[in-house]
Amino acid sequence: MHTINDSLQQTFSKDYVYSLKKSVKNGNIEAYSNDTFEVEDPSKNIYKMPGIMGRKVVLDASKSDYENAIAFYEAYKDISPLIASQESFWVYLTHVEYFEYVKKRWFGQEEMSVSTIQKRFLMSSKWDNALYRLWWSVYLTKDESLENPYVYTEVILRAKNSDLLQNFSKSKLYRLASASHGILKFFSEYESRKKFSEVNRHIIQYFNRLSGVKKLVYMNEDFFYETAKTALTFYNLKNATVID
Amino acid sequence: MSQNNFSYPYPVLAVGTDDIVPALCKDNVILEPITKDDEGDYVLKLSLVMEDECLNNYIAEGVAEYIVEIDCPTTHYRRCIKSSSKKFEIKLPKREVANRVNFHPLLIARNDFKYSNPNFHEDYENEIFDMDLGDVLAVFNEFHYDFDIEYSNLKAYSSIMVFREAPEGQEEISYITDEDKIVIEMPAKALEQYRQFSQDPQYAPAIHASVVQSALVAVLLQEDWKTHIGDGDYELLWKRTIHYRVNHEEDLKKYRDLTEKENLFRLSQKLLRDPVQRMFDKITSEL
Repeated sequence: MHTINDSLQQTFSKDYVYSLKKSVKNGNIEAYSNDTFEVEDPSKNIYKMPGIMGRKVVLDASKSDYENAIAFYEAYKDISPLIASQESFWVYLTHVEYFEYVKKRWFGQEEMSVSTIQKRFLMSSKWDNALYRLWWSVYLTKDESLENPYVYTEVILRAKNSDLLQNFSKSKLYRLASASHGILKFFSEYESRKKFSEVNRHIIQYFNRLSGVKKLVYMNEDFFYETAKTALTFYNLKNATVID
Repeated sequence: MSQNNFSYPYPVLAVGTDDIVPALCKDNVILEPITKDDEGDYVLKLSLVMEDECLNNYIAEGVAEYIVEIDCPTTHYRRCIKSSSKKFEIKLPKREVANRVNFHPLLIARNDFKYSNPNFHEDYENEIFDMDLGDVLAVFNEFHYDFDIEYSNLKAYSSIMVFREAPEGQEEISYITDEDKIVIEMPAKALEQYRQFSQDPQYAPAIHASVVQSALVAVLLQEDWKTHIGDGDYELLWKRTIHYRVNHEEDLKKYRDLTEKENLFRLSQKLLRDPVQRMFDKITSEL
């Protein structure tokens, strides 16, 4: 359940994000041990985004990424991709509004270190940011034509599929709705865990090779679904064992 | 034909290849300037130039069609616009694109069909190729558009440069070049003075000729310009803005070779519209 505030959505200034990155890089990470993050000179470093209402949702680190991603996306679904591409927006959310959630979600699993903070609170790699990955995973995989538009989101964010997200999010195909839906439909039916990491890497590589001779952006969802099955067949033949 | 280290297993019409003769002309994409519609969305009009009669017949028969692949890595916007016409009018929602957007026009097989073309190179004479849906028949020039370049404000140094307060304890001016705009970090007092005087028409020319120009010269000289800027594919906005200006402003084109140090100094003056001369003109007018 989320709420829309009466006040405007806030964000950090670019300069403040720069100073945070610099500070963390220099090893100043004590502030991340506190219950809340103390923003230096908020009147100068936080500003309101014109025309965008603030919102709030409670995220629970004990729940799955999928559940939190849906709750988070539902709250922020009116945010445009333009805003959702801004580093300062995500860094504000991880440090101010969802500081506690990000800490609970990641400091349990990863050590509190410069590297973890750069990944989860900042955006050393955008797909590692704790909230960016949730919002964009839903935005890029949702299929409004289905009764449950988040079927494919569940596949990509399933805990045991973490390396599928790692592999697929690096590919340009993840940004193509027909490819995302077709390939994730294949994985929604693919239950085997045997050599799963190797299989999903093989399938993404198969598509990357195919893109050299065929314009994949032109192809529809069925093509990607069927081709993923073909790629698995080739994998099985190559490895001479049938993975069911 | 080979493209991006991939070889097509059949002849493809493109620039500079003899798979199909004559090859595509060099200027095979004619672009109109991007405009905005009533909602503020971007509108891009373009025309493709392709004269191969056989391929034109395939298009007329509905066997092939043109596409423009659009890719915005920043906002993850990726689309395929299809048309049987050589003319495209592409609408890009302002809420969905930012920074660099890449465009790639192609001619694509709409169905599986048997492909032969009397204009094939003699090595392929009388050959018939089995084409599948999505196979590439012609490759036009790729191009890109930078939505973050301040086109209406190109000549202002603020399009490539910002001033920021230096961290406490830093008493010298320093330059940061790995951000989208060149950052000039100044101690608090100097920054306050800069802000006060740079807005005053009486002092602005002196500020441009001293602080701004020396910063730009220093930054241009410290960069490792290994390539001719015309060939550059730069990530940072300030480099892309300079690249755009050098390629589109007649009086800057002669400085395109940035491996020549002398060009860098002259280019910095031209980019800032001869600030030293403007400063002297201002002093003279005050006398």
